[in-house]
Formats: sequence, structure tokens, C-alpha cells
Amino acid sequence: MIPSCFEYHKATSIADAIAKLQDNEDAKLLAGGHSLLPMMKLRFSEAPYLVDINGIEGLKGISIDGDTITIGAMTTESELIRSDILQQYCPLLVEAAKLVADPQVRNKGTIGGDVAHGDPGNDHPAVMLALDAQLVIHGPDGERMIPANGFFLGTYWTALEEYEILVAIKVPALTSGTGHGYHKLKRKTGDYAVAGSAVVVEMNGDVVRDIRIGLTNVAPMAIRAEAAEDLIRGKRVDDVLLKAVEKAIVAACDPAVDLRGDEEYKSHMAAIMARRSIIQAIENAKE
Amino acid sequence: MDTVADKQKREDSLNGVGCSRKRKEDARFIQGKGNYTDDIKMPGMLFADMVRSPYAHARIISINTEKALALPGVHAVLTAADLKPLNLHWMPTLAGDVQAVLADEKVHFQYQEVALVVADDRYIAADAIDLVEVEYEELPVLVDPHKAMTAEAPILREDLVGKMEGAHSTRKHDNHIFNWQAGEKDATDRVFDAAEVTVSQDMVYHRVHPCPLETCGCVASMDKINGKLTVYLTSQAPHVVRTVVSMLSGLPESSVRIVSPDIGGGFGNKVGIYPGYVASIVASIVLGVPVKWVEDRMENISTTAFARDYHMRGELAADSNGIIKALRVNVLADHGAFDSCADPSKFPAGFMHICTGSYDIPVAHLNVDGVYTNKAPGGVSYRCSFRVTEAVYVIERTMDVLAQKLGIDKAEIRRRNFVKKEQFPYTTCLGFELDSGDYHTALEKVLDAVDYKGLRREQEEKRANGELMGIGLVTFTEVVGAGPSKSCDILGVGMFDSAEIRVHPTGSVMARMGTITQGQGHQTTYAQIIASELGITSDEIAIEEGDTDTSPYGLGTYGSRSTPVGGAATAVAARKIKAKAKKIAAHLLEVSEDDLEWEVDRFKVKGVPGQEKTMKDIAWAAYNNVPEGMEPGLEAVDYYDPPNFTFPFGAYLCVVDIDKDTGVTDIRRFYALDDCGTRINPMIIDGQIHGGLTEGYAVAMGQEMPYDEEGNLLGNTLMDYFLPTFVETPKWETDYTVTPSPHHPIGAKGVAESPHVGSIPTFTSAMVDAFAHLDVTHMDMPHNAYRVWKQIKALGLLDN
Amino acid sequence: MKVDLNKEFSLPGTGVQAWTFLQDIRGVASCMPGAEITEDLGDGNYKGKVKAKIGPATMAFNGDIIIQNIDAEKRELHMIGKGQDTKGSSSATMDLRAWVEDTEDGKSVLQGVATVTVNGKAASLGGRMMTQVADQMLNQFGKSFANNVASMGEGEEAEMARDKIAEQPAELNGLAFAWSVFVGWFGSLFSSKK
Repeated sequence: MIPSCFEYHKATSIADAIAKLQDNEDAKLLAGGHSLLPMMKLRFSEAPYLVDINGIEGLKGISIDGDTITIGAMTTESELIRSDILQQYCPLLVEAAKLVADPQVRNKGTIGGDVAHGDPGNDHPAVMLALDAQLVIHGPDGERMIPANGFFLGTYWTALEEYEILVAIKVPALTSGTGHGYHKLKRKTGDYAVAGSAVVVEMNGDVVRDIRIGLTNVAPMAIRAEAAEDLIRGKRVDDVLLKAVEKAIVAACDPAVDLRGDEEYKSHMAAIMARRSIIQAIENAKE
Repeated sequence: MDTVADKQKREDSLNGVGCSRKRKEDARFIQGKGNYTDDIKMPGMLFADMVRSPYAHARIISINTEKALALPGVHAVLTAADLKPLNLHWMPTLAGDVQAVLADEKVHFQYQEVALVVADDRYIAADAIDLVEVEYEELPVLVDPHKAMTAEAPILREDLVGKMEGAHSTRKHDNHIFNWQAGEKDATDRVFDAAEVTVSQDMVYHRVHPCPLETCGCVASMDKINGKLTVYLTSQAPHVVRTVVSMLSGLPESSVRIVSPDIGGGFGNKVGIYPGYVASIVASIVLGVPVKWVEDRMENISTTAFARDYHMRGELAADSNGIIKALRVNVLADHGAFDSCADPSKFPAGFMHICTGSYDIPVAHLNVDGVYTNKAPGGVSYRCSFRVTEAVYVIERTMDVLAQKLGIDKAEIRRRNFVKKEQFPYTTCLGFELDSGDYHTALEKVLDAVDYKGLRREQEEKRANGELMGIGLVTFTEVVGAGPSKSCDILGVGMFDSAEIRVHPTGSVMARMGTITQGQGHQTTYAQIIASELGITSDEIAIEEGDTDTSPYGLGTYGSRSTPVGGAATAVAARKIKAKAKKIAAHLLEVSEDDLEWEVDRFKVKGVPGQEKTMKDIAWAAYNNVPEGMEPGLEAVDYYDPPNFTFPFGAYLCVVDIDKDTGVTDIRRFYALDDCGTRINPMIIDGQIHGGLTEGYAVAMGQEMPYDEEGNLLGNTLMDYFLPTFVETPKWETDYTVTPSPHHPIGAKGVAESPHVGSIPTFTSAMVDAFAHLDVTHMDMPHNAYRVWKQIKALGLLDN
Repeated sequence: MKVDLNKEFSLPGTGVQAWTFLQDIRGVASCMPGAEITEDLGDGNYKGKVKAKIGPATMAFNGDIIIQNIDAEKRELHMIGKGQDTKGSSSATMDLRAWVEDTEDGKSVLQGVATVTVNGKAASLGGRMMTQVADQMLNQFGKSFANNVASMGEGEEAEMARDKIAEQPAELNGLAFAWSVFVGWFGSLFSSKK
């Protein structure tokens, strides 16, 4: 449970961090460290060179500008939970953050790390999909912005190119008629999800005008349950429809088999979490 | 003038038996100032780490230590080859088997110890492990105990091939360890054949691990100048370790000192001697410097004393009124690769024969077969009281099955079969003499407290509504306080225990016992016993344990034996002091001893108010004014050989609500009534019970040690192994009755393991009860959401 | 722990080209980026190594490849690969049967059935992602294989395929810059067939 030898460097700026990544083979970014360090302690990762991006100006902070909220990638889960802006304008993120790991991990773990790491068990990617977030990325060739939808490609595999760093996340501020829901089934405090679902709806009275359903840990990466969304869009939700939605969600899942459950259980739990989140989202859209 | 109020005040100031005084040890623990094995620093100390096998069963083709030795800071790499000349590559276990210290030619379980690396610091040691190159040839793996004795089973213990006389019985197969039986087979079979009603239930008590907060470790220090070996060790039985180390090393016991410092939880995980200890001791002797070895969490879970893995069949024969005529229990015990169980020597299946439970059963037969598999060695640990967890599980589950078959309420069938209060002391048909009990009162108290009838009514309504609600009930009898030396010994040493008490001239006390606390609160409870016996406040009574150089020989702390045996020795030693004190008092007051009576903290002359001597007065006098012919000083030692075990008992009730959609269970209510006889410190008892119930909850509802077919242990980190936090843990309601033990000096029975023993079957009873209306008679643990959901689905309960 | 995988890869070449390539053990090994044959021991026995990077984790295995059987009639290759990671804390065995089938349009399909057994640290700790990682590795393998088959042909596409092989990353890397290029190229290959 002791990592192998590594060099530790503190980056002074984003440009410095990128340069260090380019100059040192197999260098890894150190953000909160709570996904990377356990892998290093098990010696699954033997990163010889760590670039610490804690303390870089401009990577922290939550601000709102009109209808867009910008969150620095190095914002910790605890900071997300405490944020007045998010509590008022993006409560989905606050609710999801509260269910990440445990308090100690939440004090160090960052939203950027959680999004960029690529572990299918990480909680934020599905939330990003449900919010239709935009990801701000800096690389050797400058800055670019890409939608979260399409960023998550597989296990430990995102659209981040070599030497790129996720610097900020942009999410839409809650508008009237929008509702959100979040449910995560886990075996115990601190565990990855058996299955989790983040839902955002836009209502037109009783009719669901638009819906986005993100699913956690039931595929090689976070996914949108698009077939299920298509069933709901433009309709009123009732028990019959929800049953059909559950079936569609089960069909969309491709979870790994582990001690949390087999494919059947996890897929069905994804459906139940989604169902509960959909109902919750429609409920709080009315408020 | 001494009023009643004054007397009460003196009584209270003693903080003696019955008082919920704060624990004396907590001040240092809460402030992080405990002194644990890993806190020990010695000059020149080196660090050891273990190279372990990735395979469950393989031959070792070669071990190349060159690269590891070349790493700067590495002092030595020990393998079996280095231990062979000392004949230490194998060591005897507490169960009459042998265990490899460092793998000799083959490995038998995943993570088995293969080589010890010793380096300047733990970081270099960790790097050096990766540099030791071991070549393995994988062998077929056996993980299913049911397949262990088949013709096709791979042979695991090549070292035992041909040795068909085992430590406990003849072996009927190379993978067979022992057969052990109790009771009368033929008489029991006859009753079953003729019975009106019989039930039979197979059940698995799955393999789990106690996972104490502090892992195992030691600092071994061979002082070559003085010829003395000192080992700081996480041990629940330091004196036994000293005797064994002396035997293995050839050093006389007078040259071996074992010190158990503060221990962060034992739970039976720290009784046995582990390869890491032996290898570190050898390393220290060879290198001449102290060597520290502390394992990490994964090593602890994967290789140290696991618990249970008992595959049982419980059968009851009864009449149509549910009156039991006979009990039959058959067990297949999976001990892993080596039988290193910490049981009293004559009992390879521990006290499994307490499986007659709280019931008046005329005849019974128990049969246990132990087998080897390619898994970690052991079987006895985790608050099991030597297999009492398994025994209570099998009888309580089978009682439920009988009740269900006959359509008799679970509480009622127990009432009908309880040993009655008047029948105590009661000798069971499998040989235990239950000292005291009042099972009927305990049960009624619980049923009243929870409004049992109301709960059953609610369940009816919920069932009609398609909801899953279950009520679990267990009425258990435990056996603890091992034990009378005529039947109980560890490696030949009788299982007495000891206390040595010394009163100082100014009236405070120092006492040392042969037991060793690992968080049970001995520093407080032993002081309370002495306080009540001697009339000196427990605030001024210092308790020490764990240093074999200073404390009297004891067998250690496990199986809840400290109060029944150590506590008895303490009380008896205190009474020896009191007897001498009475003589001194008589001398000081110039009366005969018969004229004196004892009150709280002083001897008073009967009928003459004002003529009295406190224990403090007497203590001072003991050092300067003793009667003619008496030696000065005020101290005593007692080695207590208990005449019998003690039998705490209890009644537990649990209410569960199961979410059909997810399989998640909410423990709505858990009511635990315990009778441990005299209650020394009610607050500590509550703490013990909360702890035992929480561990029971963990075992029943989530803990497991799954091995795949290749013998890989899956889930050996806290990412998977279920340690509940406050968020998951149910709210416990505790209650009690007091039925003292007639043979114990202060009537106390011991309590720490009862909540674990009793709660686990209670959870299963509740889970099964939730599905009983659908003819489910049993569900194996753990009752995690996944498994429960599968059951729900199999029963067709999901709307589709 | 055991993982069973069934894979099917559409190939842009003929069955004959595919079967020819399938028997080129070094070539096949090179389709697994990060893998190579280091020694030919003769008799269908080889020594090889694989280095795989999955996100921050790296696994490097050394091992043996044994060709169990080559069935020219069924165009089937049966091989067993057994390796230990360089620290000796994990082992993996892959029992693979791969065969080539012709398709109606004159192209072919590579079918594979594999049982991967992982023991040791990787099984105990990495179990939860074993299937997904193995899956991803085999997908990448399949694309490479298809690429190689294509390069055996004539024309512009074969030319592009040969270029791509040269550019192939040295290691299997989840951050596959090459991946997005492959996907694009492969997709364009098919769309141009229509």
C-alpha cells in the first residue's frame, strides 16, 4: 500500500502544467488525488512524475453570468455543496456532490478530476450529461470547448487529447419549468454507485417538453439513455409510460459484473434510479 | 454520626461494581495518545514487509532475491530456505496442525507468505518486495469444501500425505482434517425415524473477517548483549505467545518478554501466531537489531484469522405440539489451507455442542468434519466464543423452520421448549452444565416492550398490501469463560487466569492480570471489581496487563473469558487481601475478628459506633503495624481455575422493511435484551452490545469473502468489505435482566460476544420472516440488496 | 477470475487474405498495440510481451504464446497466451480460437472466442473493470487486424492502410489519438463501398 517512487512538481500556471506534461514521459496530473493516489498505492499506476495543479489561479471558483454558471475544475465536492450559487441555480450538482464518497474524500476530490478521470464509477459524468454541460479545455494548441455529450468514450477514456487539461465546466442555470432529480443506489457510505441516475426535465405544464437522463456505472462510461428519453419527450408521464421507460433503460445498460451485482440487477437498478429521478424532477419543476 | 446518606455517599465514591463510571483508558485514546505496536520506535529499528503469493495453489519453482538484495537500504531477504536450518519454516498451530511460516516448495492460498524483506524503512521494503522474483507453476485449485473429499480433488497438503492419524481423529481423505462428534448418534437417529414431525434445513454460515481497526504487527528485538528477546506484539494471549516462542526458539521463557501494548481491536483476529511475527523474530535474531513488521489492510483481511465458513444442516424431530424430541446437526467446516484455529485443544469444533441452545432437548447428535481448501487458514475468530455463533445460528434457524412447518408462532414454540428456571443448573444432552437462566422472563420482557402482537397485526396488513415486512426473533444461550482446565487447555496449558493485587501504604492499588484488553475496558472494570471488594475508589486503582515480565500467567482475552475467569481471579485475590485486612483491623481495634463487620469501605466493631478502621487505615498499618507473626505488606495473587463455563443469554427481536424495487432492507427496529449476570459497568456493557450488534449487522447484511474458482479473493479491501458507518447502522435498543452465575465470585458472566452471537440469526430470522408467507424457509447471508432482490425476483414479486 | 468474450470483426479483405494474415503470428501479435513477439522458440512456441495502459494504470506482462492448433480447412487458429506481470503479482491466460469466414460480398469476417483468466492482484482488485478493459483491448485489436488485411490488397485504401500501420501507437493507450483517426478512416472505408 505504498506507491513506488515518484517525482513531485507543483505547477505554477496552466501553461506550466501543460509544459511539464509534455516534457516528462508518463507525467500525471494531481488534482484531489483521491482517484489517482489509491491506484498508485496499489501500484496499478506507477506514475513517475506528478504535476500538482492545486493552487493554480483560475482553476477554482464558481461564478454566474446570465444563464451560465462557470465552475473551476479544481472546485472540491465540499465547495460545490456549500456554494450559494449552485444551491440556488443548479441544485442537481449539489445533490449529486453530497452522495460522492464520504466527507474526507469530498474535501479533496474535485469536480474536474471526477469528470476527467474516466472511471465509469465516477458520479459527475452522468450529471454533466443530464445538464448538457460544456467542458473548457486547455492544451498545447490553446483552448477549446466541447459538450459533455460525446466526451466520455470508454473506461478511462475521454476526449481529452494528450497534454490537455480540463480547466472549467459550464452548466446552465435553472430556469422556471426546469426540474432535476438525482438518485444513487449504493451499498454503503463511500461506495461507487450500484447504479445512479441524473435527470433534468423541462416542463410545459404537465407535458415533458425535454428530458435528459444520465446513467452512472452501468456501462464502460456514463451514458445518456436516449431511447428512454425519446419515449418521454412531448408526453405526460404516467405509470404505463414509466414501465416502458424502465424497459428502455434496462436495454441501454451494459454494466460490468462485480460484487455490487450482475448485469440484470444493475440494469434494473439503473431503471429504478432513473424512474425515481424522473418523478422527482417532474415534482420539483412545479415548485 | 454515620447516616444512611453518608453510607450511600461512600458507596458512590467507590465507583465500584454497578456504576457507569467513565472509562479510565479513554483519555488517551480519544486524544490519539494511545501506544500501539506501530507507535513503537527503537534505536536501529528496521522494517520488514512480506512477499506474497498471487496464486491460490502453486509450486514454487525458484526464488531469486538478487535484485531485492541489491536495492540500497535492503538488509536481508528471508525465505523458507533460511528458516529450514532452524526448523522454523513450519510452525505448530493451536489446533494441532502445522502452518508454513514462509512457503516451502509450494503455496496453498492466495497471499500466502513467501519471503520477508528487511530494509531501512517501510518504503524501501515496499519497493524491495517488487524486486523479489518468484517463479510459480500453477496447480489446480480447490475452493469448494463440498468437493474436498472427492476422488478428483487436488491434494493440497502434500506434507501430510500418508499421515492418516490427525491431531483429533483419523483422516478419511488427504484433504480431511478431523471428525468430531458429540451426543448419541444411534439414539438420535431412532428418535428421528419414529418422530411425528421432522424438519431439515441446510444453511451456510459464510466466511467473514473481523477486520479490526488496527492490523496485526510486531516489533521484535533480540538484545544480544543481554541475551533477551523482547517482542511487542498485537496479541490477545501474550503469555501463550511467550511459551510458544520459547519452545520454537530454544530461548528459556525467562529470556523472552512479550508485550502487548494498546491493541486497536482484537475480536479473535489476534490470538494466533502469524508467520510475520516468526519471520521478524528470526530476522531480529540474525541481524541483531529490532525489526518491525506491520501488515496493511489487504494483508490483514486476506491472510489472518477469518471466521465461520461452516456448512451446516440442522434437523429437529418433534411432536405435533412442537415439543422437541431430538436434534441432529451435521457440519462441513472449511478451514482453509492450514487448521490454525484458536480453539481449546480438545475441541477442534470449538463449543459447537452448545447447539442445543436454550431448549430442553432430550437427545442430540452433532457431527463435524473439517476439510482443507486453497483459502486463508483459520476459522475461529470475530466474537464467536469458539463457534458459538455457528451453534446458535443453526439451532435458532432450525427452530424457526420447525415453527413454520407446524404453523406455530416463533415465540410460542420457544416458550414451549425453554429450559425452565427451576431446572437450573441444567445439564444439556451434549454435555454442558448451564449455570443459571430465566429464558421465559427475558422473552416476555422483549415481546411486551415491542408490542409483538401489534407488530404481527401490522405485518398481516402489510402483506395484504404486497409489502415486505419481517419480524425476527432469537432466544440464545451462549457459553463463555473458557474454562475448567480439566477440559480446556491451549497447547497443554490449562485455561485458568490470574490476578495479582498490591495495596500501597497510602491506600491506592496496583493490580495486574493475565488477560489483555483490546478495547473492552479492563482498566476500568477490573478496578471497579477491586473497588467494591476492598472499599478503595476505582479512581485510585491502576490496572496493568500485557507485559509477560510483570503480569501473572494468563491465557489471554477472547471468547468473553476476562470477566468470568479474570474477573473471578480478581475478586478472589481481593478477598484474600480483605481476609488479611480483617486480621489487621482486629489487631488495630483490639477485638477478635468475629466482632467485626464490613461496611462499604471499612471494618466496624459490631454494636460499637465509632470503632472502625477503613481500608486506607489498614493499608498504612500493613506496612508498619501488623499483628505478631504476620508478614508486612498487603497483596495477593490468585490463579483461578473456573469450575464451569458461564452461560449468558438473551432475547433479540428485529423488524425489517424491504424495498421490493431495490432489495434494500431498512432495519426498522432492533431490540436486544441481554442477561450477563452481575453488571459491572452498565455503560461499558451498552458499548459492548452496540459494538457486537453493529458487527452482527455487518456480517448478516453485507460482509463476505468471495473466492472465485481460481482461488482469487475478491473484495479484500474496504472498498468492498462492508464496514458500516453511522449512516448505515441501525439504532439499537438495549435492555437487560440479571440472573447471576451461581458459581462466579461476583455472579458475572461476561457479555461482549453475546450481541454478535445473538444478532446474526436475528437478522436472518427477520429477512426470512418477510417472505415466510410465500413458503420461504431460509435465506443464506449476506442479505445485501443484490441477493435479496434476486430472491424477490425469483418469487415473482416484481411487477412486470 | 474468468472472462468470456465473443468478438466479430468485419474485414475489408477476402477470406484468403485474412487467413494468410491470421497465420502470421508476429503480425497478429503486433495488432495488439503494445504487444510483440520477442523470441521464436520453434514448434509454435513464442515468447512475447504486452504493455497496456488503461488511464493512469499500467500493466506489463511477459509470457508465452503456444499455438495449439492450426486448421487450414476450417481456417481456424487456436492459441494460448500465458503471462505474468513483470512484478509477478498477477497472471493472465488467454485461450483464443479465431477463425475466418467468408461473407457474401466477397469480403470476410474474423470470429473470435476467448476465455481470459486473470489471477492475483489484477483479479482481486481490478476485477470490476476486467471485462470492459479486455473488451476495449480486443476492439482495438480487431481494428488493427482489419487494417492489416486491407493493406494486403491493392489500391488507394490499401495504401492508406499501410500508412496507418506505420503510425500505430507503440502502446495500447486509452488516450488514443490514433483511435479517433482509425474510427474515422474505417468508417470512410465502409461508406465508400456503397
